[in-house]
Amino acid sequence: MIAEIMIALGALFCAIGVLGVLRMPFFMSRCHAATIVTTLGTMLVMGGVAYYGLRTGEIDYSKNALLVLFAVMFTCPIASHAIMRASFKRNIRPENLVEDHFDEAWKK
Amino acid sequence: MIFTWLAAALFVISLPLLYRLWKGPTIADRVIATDTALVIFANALVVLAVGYGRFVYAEVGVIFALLGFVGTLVVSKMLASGEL
Repeated sequence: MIAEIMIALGALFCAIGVLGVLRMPFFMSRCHAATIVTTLGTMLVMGGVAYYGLRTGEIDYSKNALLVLFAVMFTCPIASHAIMRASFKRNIRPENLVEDHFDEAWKK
Repeated sequence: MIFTWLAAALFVISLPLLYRLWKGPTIADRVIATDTALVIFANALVVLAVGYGRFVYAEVGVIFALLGFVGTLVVSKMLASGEL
């Protein structure tokens, strides 16, 4: 029962993240909302599957779920950083930005 | 049975990202939408493997998670160098 509740909570957090990606005004706030899916949603869903595998003795599902969990946990910050840096270089910036030192830091 | 329904719910949750993929103002928005959709697909495939009792779907989930990462890195590299 705990595994099903964890997976349902993870799906709820995925829905919140998708809603944020749809509704947020700027690109960086959309990235911020997409991070909910990759951290909290994936951690809860994969933790639920891993707990289910441990409980029923099918240890292969636990191993695979932990593999997906650590892959997403280690790769998603890198991908998010790379795409935000690339969009900053292509002048996709928030309109209400107060201070911006990116260009002079990039010229060095 | 309930795992199959949870996987179906995860698939349905990722469908509204098609709107952001179709109507994103910039390329980076589309890339973020694709990346998020692939992560949700990976979750749904691992849950679906438990629901159907077939282990192959879980391995496909690993491939989906890593493929989204590689695609995002490639597109951001091309975007930074001005090719796209």
